[in-house]
Amino acid sequence: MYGTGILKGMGVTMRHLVDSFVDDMRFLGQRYYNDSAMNIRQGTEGRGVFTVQYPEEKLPVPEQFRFIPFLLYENNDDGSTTDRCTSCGICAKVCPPQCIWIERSSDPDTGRPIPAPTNFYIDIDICMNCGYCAEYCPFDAIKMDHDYELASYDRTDAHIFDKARLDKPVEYYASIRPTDYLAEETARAEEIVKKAAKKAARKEAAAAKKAAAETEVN
Amino acid sequence: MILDVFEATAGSRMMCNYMRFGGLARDFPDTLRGEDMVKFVSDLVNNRLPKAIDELDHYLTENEIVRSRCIGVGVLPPEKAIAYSTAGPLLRASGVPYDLRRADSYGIYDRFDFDICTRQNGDVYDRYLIRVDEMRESARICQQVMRDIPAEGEIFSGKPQYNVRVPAGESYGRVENPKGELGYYVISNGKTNPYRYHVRAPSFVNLTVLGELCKGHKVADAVVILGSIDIVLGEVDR
Repeated sequence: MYGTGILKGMGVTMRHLVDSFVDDMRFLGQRYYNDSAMNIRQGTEGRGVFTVQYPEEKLPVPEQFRFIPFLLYENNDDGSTTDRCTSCGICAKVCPPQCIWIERSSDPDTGRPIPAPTNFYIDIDICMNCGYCAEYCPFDAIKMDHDYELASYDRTDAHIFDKARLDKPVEYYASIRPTDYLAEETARAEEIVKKAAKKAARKEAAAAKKAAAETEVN
Repeated sequence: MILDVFEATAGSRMMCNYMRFGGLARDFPDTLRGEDMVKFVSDLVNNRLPKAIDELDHYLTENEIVRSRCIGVGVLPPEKAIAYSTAGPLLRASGVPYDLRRADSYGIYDRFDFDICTRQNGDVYDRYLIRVDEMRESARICQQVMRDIPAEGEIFSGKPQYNVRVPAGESYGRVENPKGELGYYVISNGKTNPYRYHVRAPSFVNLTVLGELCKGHKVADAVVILGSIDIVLGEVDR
């Protein structure tokens, strides 16, 4: 009979509609604006409409989510801050769309370069969020952010982020990417232990050499 | 949900940037949406995807409007499909069982059991059906992947490098992608950047038959035919 196919298709739509209401009952009216319900709705058990009521509720971003790099600085005990960046320029070199611009700093007296950037610019209109800068930075100084709400009314220079805008404390990084942070910290601690061991071994070797030389002289 | 898995593993929904020369960027995360990641993906490929494909099938395949607009429209005979060097679903809908995963098996596709779907008429409706069939086959491959995936293993071998030096010479590599045959021809002169390269974009090649397919049809049908070729404009207009 002509039209049965259309009716069958409409049945699918109808079932989705009913599913949404049945799902609403499951959460007792707490379907929206509720983090645990959100996880179920968007997970493998989700039924009915998948709509996220965006500005009011947001999908939780996974840890690996990446959007626009930022620079890390460490808070020292005396209140001052230390940049991790040494302005080596590897990030600017690997950047495929070439959106990073680093101004290197030099000692005002001697004129010799010092390993810290005077300024650091990222044109976020050009940045394509590939994450290579974070991946290849040897000092873990540049990392990818989770903040994706960057719309602004200005299109001239609001989207060229300078160092003041990019700088964020290490604690912030630890809060958005806990597992990555932990892995890096343990790796660094191991490195330090290894270096210390190497140094001790070298010292020992030198001492042994010295002792051997002394005995030879005697 | 597929995109959620992409986002959790690679960091981005569209531009995954997950593969590297010598491996992958990182391992799977442990959890997604409060569920175990492996369980999430297994559930997705074993239950959700087949169900969603069945639903789509149920929703559209028997629909009289779809059938009257699609059957017999934009017929591409197999000889012409080969002459225009089309690939992918377009070619297979015309009855040519050609799939690079079988014809020139690469990667680990020889380990999976899947069928190359073909249809005989080569019209818009067949191109729709072949895509439904191939979604089923893809889900089947994913199920086998989730069955066989090792729990542990090396993610990245070798030292991470950002400018890989390639020995001088030229090479052509091709893979089957959802639109057809994607090929890269690269000439290297030993430096970090290729000396010349060319991309064989499947959408671009498939689009060349549009004029041929539209002959003798109404303007309204041109839209349907264009839709059935299923182009990605970023690939056509490089």
